[in-house]
Amino acid sequence: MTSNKLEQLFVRLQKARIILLEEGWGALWSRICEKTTRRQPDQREWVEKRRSSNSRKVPFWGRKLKTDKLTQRLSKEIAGRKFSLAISQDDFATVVGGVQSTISREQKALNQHGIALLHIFPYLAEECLEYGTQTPVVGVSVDGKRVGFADGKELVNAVSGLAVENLLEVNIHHTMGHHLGFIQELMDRCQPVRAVFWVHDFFSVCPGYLLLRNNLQYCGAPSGDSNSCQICVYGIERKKHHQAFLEFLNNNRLEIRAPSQFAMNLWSETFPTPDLPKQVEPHVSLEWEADVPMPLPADRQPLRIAFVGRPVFHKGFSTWTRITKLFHMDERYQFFLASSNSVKSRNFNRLPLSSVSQSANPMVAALIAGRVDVALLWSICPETFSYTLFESLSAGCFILTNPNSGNIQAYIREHPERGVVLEDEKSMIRLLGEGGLVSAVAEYQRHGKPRATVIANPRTFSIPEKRSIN
Amino acid sequence: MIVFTSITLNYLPKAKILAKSIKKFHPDWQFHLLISDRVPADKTGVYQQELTSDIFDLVCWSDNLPIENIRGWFFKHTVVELCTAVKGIYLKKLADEGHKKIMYIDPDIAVFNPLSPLDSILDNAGIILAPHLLDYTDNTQSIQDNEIAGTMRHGTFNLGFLAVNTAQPDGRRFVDWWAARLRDYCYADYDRGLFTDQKWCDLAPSFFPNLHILRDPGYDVASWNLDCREISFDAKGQLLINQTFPLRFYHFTGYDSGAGANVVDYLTTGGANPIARELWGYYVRQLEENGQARLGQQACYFDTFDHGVKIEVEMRKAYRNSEHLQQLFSDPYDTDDGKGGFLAWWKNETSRKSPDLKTRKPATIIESNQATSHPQVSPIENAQLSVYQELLAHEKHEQDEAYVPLLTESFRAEDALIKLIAFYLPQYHPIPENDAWWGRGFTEWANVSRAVPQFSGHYQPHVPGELGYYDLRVEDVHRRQIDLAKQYGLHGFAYYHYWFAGRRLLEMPVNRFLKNKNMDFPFCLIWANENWTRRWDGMESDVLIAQEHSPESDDAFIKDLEPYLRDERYIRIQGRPVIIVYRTDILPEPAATAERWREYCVTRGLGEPYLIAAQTFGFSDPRTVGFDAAMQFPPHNQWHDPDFMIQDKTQLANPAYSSYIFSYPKMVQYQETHAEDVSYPLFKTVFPSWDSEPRKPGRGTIYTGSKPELYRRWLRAACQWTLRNHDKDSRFVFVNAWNEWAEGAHLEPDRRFGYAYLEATKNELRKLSS
Repeated sequence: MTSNKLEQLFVRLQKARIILLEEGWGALWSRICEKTTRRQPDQREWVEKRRSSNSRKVPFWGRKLKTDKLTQRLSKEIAGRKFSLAISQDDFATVVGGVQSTISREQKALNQHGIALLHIFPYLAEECLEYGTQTPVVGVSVDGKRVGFADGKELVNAVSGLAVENLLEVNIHHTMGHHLGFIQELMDRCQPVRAVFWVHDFFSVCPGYLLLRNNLQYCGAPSGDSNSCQICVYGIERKKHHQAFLEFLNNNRLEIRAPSQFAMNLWSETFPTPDLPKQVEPHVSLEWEADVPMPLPADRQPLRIAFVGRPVFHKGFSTWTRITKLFHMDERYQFFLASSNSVKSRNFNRLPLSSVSQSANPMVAALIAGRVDVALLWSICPETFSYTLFESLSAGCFILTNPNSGNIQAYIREHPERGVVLEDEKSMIRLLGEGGLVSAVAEYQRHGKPRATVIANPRTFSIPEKRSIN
Repeated sequence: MIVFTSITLNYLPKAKILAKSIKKFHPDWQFHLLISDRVPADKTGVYQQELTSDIFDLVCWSDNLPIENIRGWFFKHTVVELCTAVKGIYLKKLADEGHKKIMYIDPDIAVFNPLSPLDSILDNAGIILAPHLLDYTDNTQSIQDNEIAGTMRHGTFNLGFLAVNTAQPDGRRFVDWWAARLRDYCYADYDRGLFTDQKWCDLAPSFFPNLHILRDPGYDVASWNLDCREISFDAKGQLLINQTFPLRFYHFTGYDSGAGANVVDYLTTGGANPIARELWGYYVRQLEENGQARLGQQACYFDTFDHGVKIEVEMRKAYRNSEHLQQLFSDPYDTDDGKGGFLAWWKNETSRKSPDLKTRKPATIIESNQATSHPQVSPIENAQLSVYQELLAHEKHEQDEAYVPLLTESFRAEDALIKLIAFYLPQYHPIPENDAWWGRGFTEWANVSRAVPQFSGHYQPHVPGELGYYDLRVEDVHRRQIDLAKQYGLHGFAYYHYWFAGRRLLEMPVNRFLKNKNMDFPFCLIWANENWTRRWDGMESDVLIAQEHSPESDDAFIKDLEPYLRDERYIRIQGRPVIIVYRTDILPEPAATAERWREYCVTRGLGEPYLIAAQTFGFSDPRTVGFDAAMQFPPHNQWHDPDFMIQDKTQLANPAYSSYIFSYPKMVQYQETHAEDVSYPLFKTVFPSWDSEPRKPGRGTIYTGSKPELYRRWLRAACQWTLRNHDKDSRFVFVNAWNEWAEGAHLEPDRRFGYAYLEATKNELRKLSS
């Protein structure tokens, strides 16, 4: 081992010792886990990843279905009903996430009206677009029930063999892990009356769908020829990626749908397609309970501040770690982590989500039970929607965010009384240090904590549905 | 425009990146590759393909250059010297061929935006040179690395870039002059004031008036100037320097030695200049794509004798210093299969003169033109070395240049327009409680004496001067403190008062003072009304003695205070006895507490107390707690200000240090320009310095860079503000502190500055009064 490496090792050990002393064993273990799961990909890793995905097309334990068998099974499951086709990056029935829950709601809404949901997803959930001549293996389910795996071409044959007049529409929720050529063929063969292209994130804009240059800083999706893309690990891939989407959008009559105006605007800057119909459809909205504010506890000090959501780098968890390290001894504040993921630290406590899991929305319930005053929603990448924002507002939290958080900051700029958009981490340190947050929150809560109910918005099909999710 | 670079074959991947990046913006510019090397016989195929690439318009092998006795001339130079020396010769060759606009760029540079502005500058200028540094900082490490060891040693201009127009005045003259100097004197010979091609150009602005100094910071951004050049992106994704100038080219110096990456690591520590790290990552990926693994390790042909033995620097020096040897061995590379030639002479000569010489390792020379003070060691080791050297220096000359001895002259507080009160800490004598909590015999000195510097330039430990590590059980010490304070114009002391629901700690000094009426010095009390915890150990929640705030304790507290308030020496404002509370924010009902105290004092004939709330823990407005005034308590409510933070730019000697370093000069500058506009009575407080490292080893908050003159400027600003905003009978300014040694805040004399802070205090008070 060279002296340089020894020195690096020594510095790492020193850092580990400091975390141990300052935040305890739990924090150290969390940090180690985070390091191993959140590696910064470099260009080589990116290429290797693509290669590996191409070489593992067939599940070694499974058998790919051929067209006949597939048609037979699909027909059986659809059972003569009208059906809708959804395309996304993984099986929504087994994976938890925002897109997945949207499709899940879509399925329930369709089924209530006797319509089946045929869902297609890549066998390997890779974070890139597939190219080349080899057709990728895809999985298919009906109403969330897995039907099987098949080569893309076989699936196209099978779907086009169904009664395509019963196909109501195609919803392209996500194309990650897919081959656009395969989706194009599906579109050509099925000729859907209506096809919706969703902007759930910015995967169509860049393979680095968080729009974090080198997975570090928000880039704003500039031109592919910019310095920003030049030095980014996604830069080379992006040109091909962008061209593929441009062709796909030009070849199909698609409706563009985004969950927020912010997402639609940013997407439209990259794909200036004025002739395509565009619609903003928020997943949820808030119904404010103006007359029934949440009562404030008698003891209002200290201010209870929570990091809400997944404790990962792009959600601003590094900032949270630094802030809590700096202020955990300040008696004006108490810090909490409101997340289903556990990260331990002496500098903040975790709000127990499990004890309130019986609630329709455990996060809202946990924030209310934890008497959280302030939610730190410090995403450093542009959120296209952010359920967490609506959950936090619903629980009466005042929002702290930054200019790069996408729909979060857009919402707060529209409703400045409900939070503050801070220029950067330094501004937040200043706000906490000088005590300005205390007075801002006191103003927000002057009549008690404003309370709202999260209402899931009706889905695409104009099916009258309105229900609370918390 | 002709652009050329000079390489040995192992730099081919870098040259490819450079050429591609130039061709991207200027496909019409010619790119020439000058190589001082020879292709190994077994790799002709590889290099044939690489060197006939479209990106190189012309490849020139430097042994074809018009140089007399070229083999001997090559031998005189190390590889780095050779690659720089040929630059001048090739430049002259191009000029002789009639080319006008010619540019040289180092191979380890990549271009990010068009270089067209240079083309325009050359329409008028004969020469363009780029300085290493366009601005300076006061950071010690930066001065050491970039100014002293870097630029002053290696040259003002970085010759990684040079452009000439031989059609403009001075252009051709410069080419001829520079080529001639490089032909004869292109060596890294520091003793003679030479550093290859760079040091020569220090003379160029004097010799050639039509020389343009490139002051656009977007050019030649490199590790040596990164601390003055902030890299960012604009909304369109263009790289900018200092928010304004497009990044034209970045110099990725030190890739092979690892020094470049180390410096970038250092400069980006703590999140500073994060894009520099991204740029470095980009360059590494580019190198990999351009065959660094395949081509980057190729040894230079001219670095060995013809049978493969490496040529040592000592051999080259011997050869170039002896005309006789040069005549004797016109081709010193030739060894006649290892049996003859210069090498045989060298072996024979060295064994004859000194047997040791054969095995002696050649002196290490810096084989790059980058600026680092100790290229063989890491920045942390550098900082540790600096800290150790500073400690040694202080061992010999422990007085700072601002040191002031004890002077006989005094200034009476009565003559001052401002009444200056210093906080007084009594924790300098053992008490049973401290014995139990921290170990027998514990006093504040236990913390003070253990501190060590965390970075170069960090003043620790603070060693007391005249009074030594005193024990307050000795009454003479206390009397001497009062004498000193009076001599230097202080009005009084504000003693910390430790009162926990009737239980008192560290009360001996102030009680003795109360008893001895001949200790003639005004005083007041600050109630340190927070829990005593093991905060120094980082165990905040481990409470040693807790406060209990209640109506009963309010009454008991003011009753206990009565003897002090009755004392004729007790400080009064507007005739009212002053009571200062450290933390009103933790009083459950502060307004009610204030009212109880007022009622008690009025009833007992003490006069209505003048209640002052310290501005601590975010608290600011005294009216919200029913107090009469607020008192600043720096660094409270200010120390989080990120504008003063400089730990990102401080090279730590202790890699485990984990707190915040602030600039005292920046803070003073802020205090001078920032005038509080408050609608309540406010008393200003200053501190001579602040450093809690003794109490929190490796975790102390540090205001570094304090000097008596800076402290005086802050004191002046505070006094002037007070004169403007207070009536005559309430013109008080506070000093934190008389003797907070474990927080680095003391007016008391120390070994480094002597009485300088007291002298600054006295002089400022006197000046204001005159």
